[in-house]
Amino acid sequence: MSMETLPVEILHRIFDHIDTQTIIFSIRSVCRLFQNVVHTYERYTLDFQSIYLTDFRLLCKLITPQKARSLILCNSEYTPNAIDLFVSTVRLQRFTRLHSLTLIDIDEFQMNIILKRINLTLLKSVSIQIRKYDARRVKTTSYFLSSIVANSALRKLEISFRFDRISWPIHCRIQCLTINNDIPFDNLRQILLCSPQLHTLTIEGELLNMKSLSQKDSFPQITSLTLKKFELISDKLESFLSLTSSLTYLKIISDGFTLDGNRWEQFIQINLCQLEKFEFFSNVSVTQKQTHEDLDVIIQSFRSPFWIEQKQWFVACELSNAYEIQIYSLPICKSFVEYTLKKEKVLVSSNSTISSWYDDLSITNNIDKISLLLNETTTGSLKNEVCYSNL
Amino acid sequence: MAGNKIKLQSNDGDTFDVDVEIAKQSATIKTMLEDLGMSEEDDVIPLPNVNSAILKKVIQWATHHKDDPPPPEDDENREKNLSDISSWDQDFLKVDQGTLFELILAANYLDIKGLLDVTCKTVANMIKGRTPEEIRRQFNIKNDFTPQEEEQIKKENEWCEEK
Repeated sequence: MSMETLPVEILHRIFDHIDTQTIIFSIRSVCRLFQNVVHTYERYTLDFQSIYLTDFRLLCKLITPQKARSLILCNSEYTPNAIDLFVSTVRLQRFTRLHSLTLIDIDEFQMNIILKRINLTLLKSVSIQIRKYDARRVKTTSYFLSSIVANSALRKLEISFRFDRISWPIHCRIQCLTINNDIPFDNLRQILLCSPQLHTLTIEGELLNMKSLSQKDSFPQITSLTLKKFELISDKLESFLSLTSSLTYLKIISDGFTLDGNRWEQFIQINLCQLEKFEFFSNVSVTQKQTHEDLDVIIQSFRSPFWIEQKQWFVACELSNAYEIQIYSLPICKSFVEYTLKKEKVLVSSNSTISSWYDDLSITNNIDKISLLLNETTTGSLKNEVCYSNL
Repeated sequence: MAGNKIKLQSNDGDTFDVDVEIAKQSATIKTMLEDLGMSEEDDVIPLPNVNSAILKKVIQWATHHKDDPPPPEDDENREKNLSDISSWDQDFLKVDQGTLFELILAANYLDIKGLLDVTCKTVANMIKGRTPEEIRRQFNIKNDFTPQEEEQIKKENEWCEEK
């Protein structure tokens, strides 16, 4: 049994997990059989996020756009005009079979050019981060985004745009939605009412005008909720969470978290009975100077049988400074953290075996980027402290 | 019907008693049982495309993954993430290439999406970032291009540098 005896559809399935450069530049050159198998492959991901100009031109030449299923374009610090180059090099109308489109740091007018020319009807996943808005184009953008949302194929959408300008279809089949800006609650309500299959919701911004929230509102389809940059006023947060009673996963990355474990325990027992995983990371400003003992009191409220035994959710907190507490679930749920090297770092955890990040390296497994805040007295300890393999 | 067993027969005649729920991770077997009305207790399900050693491995994999959530339907948005193979699967797939390819074929025939994905990812890991010569060596593949064909491919790959 050898690789060459595998059927073509299996080889294509293997290609689905390989980057386009390896397929085109390496596999195609291995032997005649592989050259032919590559020739019939039609599920390319064109990821132009960080690519040499020569490779970019070559891929544009060697892969016909009809064979691309996924397209990722990005204006980055290193390639500020990459999207302009792409638009001028490739006939966008030939992208007739795209299932996934990702546009990163794009200007609104560039986005409109692309959305106007490619075939939107097969898109299942769309993610757009606009770096430069243009007030004159709001109407056009609204039109294109409304067309994308109206497609019955769409399952996943991530966008920062005024959602009140997007007309949401009555029976939207979207499953994952990420809103990267503030949104009025009325607007969100309308979206959720029209999206019965929407199970994963991420809001990276404020929920505005919550006053309009009614007791009749309920969104049981949501099972996974992530809130970032959310205004964590207890009542407001609890009012919103009480609408999503089927949550199995909740993640909160915002400042101002409620430091009272007992309050959370009661709220979750009453309103979020199905919650299996609760992750959070928050900086909380306080008016009184904090000590080690104050942290002990806070953590004590997260040491009840509910937290430790029933849910097995462990929590740590530390002093960022005398008037700011950092509280987070373990393992740390953020991929990027700021870290201050201090001679005496006070960390209190509900897991009695953990009193620093070095006690169990698995608590930092999700971190892939750290910003170290250094000063003269701490740089010397760097050598001893940095030991994270996943950075 | 929890706890019920069925008999699966490999192409070399060995029979394996397997929990129905474990066997149903194979969409092929699930269809046989549900749509074709095969009874669970009496009949032996013959699997003419799978030998005994491979079937044993497949059952071992399905038993370990019996409580996994069903894999997502969406095939097209597979992320090209090669680092998401669990450590158990990585150990399980430390096998010779022949066995790995036979597992892929068995997963494909039995329609076990999770096993097919993880085996294909494992082969993909062996290819990603390699040069053509490294891939030939890795899989013992003969370079059957004529010198002219090779020159042609080289030219295509250098097209932009020459511009």
